[in-house]
Amino acid sequence: MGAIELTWRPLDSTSAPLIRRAKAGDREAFEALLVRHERVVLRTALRLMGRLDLAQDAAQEVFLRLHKYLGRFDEERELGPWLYRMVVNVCHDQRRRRARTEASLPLDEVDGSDPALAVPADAEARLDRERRRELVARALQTLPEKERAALVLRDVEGLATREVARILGSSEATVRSQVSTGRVKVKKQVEKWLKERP
Amino acid sequence: MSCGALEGRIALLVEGDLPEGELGAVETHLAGCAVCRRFADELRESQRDLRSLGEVDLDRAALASVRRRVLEVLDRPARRSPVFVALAAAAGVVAVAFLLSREVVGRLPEPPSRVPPASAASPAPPEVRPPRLAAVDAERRAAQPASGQLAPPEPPAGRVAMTVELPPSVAPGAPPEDTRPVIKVVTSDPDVVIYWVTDPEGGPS
Repeated sequence: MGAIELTWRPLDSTSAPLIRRAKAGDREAFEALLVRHERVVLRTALRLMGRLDLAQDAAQEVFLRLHKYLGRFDEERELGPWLYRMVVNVCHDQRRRRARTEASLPLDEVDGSDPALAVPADAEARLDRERRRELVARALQTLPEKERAALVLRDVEGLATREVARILGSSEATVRSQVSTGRVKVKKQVEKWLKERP
Repeated sequence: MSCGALEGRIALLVEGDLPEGELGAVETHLAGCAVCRRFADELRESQRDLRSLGEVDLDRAALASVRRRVLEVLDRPARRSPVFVALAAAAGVVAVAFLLSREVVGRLPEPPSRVPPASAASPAPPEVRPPRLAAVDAERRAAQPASGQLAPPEPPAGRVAMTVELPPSVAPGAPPEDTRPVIKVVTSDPDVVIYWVTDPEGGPS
């Protein structure tokens, strides 16, 4: 049935020496770690939070925590799963804080247009594709938090189900259930919006 | 198997997540159900859009902003939390109060020592002190103005000094006073000095 094989995209195959130096207080090494992982961290946070400004706040917090707790990190382990887990946790905390002070995020506020995304030169020709992509990004924000996290890690970041389960601290069966439900919801939500605003 | 019940399984199938044991049944259903085949095709398209969210490039300015903010925070001098500051202030107040109380206690008059009058016939008994403490005491005596009463010797930390105190001199013709010798036990705590008045007659002191 043409199943697509998603592979683990390691974040940090060569991070160990940098982590060792950063743990020893080497500021340049920490900056190098920051540069190496900032794209993945910000992108994941953007898909979880739905707004660039909130995603930037979350990414900042992730790297500050990385700096704070780097001393405890075993450099022989992979930094990637640890960072993904941190992104999920920080985004969860920030959404909870926002929920305490504000009503739930209205969909109009969801940053579907993604000003952080570079507009391709041939944007005109790909308008329909871009529009669908924006709607999918917005639809992600309509999902319950755990479903969204599972779907972002599994489908947007392309991690294996086993890795997603490890990052989220749940079972593979739970992740499969979450991504299955999430995929169907996103598809139906986008179709609904396309019908409403042809 | 109904089409509605299959939606979730199809959602797993299109990304290769369906367990092997369920694969056959779902594929068989799809082969005979145009509605579910269409659903699967639409789902694949939706999934392509979803995966493409991970392929888009982020604006460099947005990334640089995060980097700058992180490095700015790390460059700031460490700021103590309000709780830490409050606790430190409270500890300071307690420490000052403790020191002041020790100062006040130190100025309180010492308990009166019962010193016997000087007598040519009864010379002062020698102090029973280890050589090192005796040397320290000698220095202390030399530094003090002459008086009828010795300041309690301060033993080194963790030591207890025991001395037999007698007045060094009494003016001639002075009325006789208590002649019982006083044993002064000085502990490492300057606030704790034990006076032990001995009674030569064996009575209670």
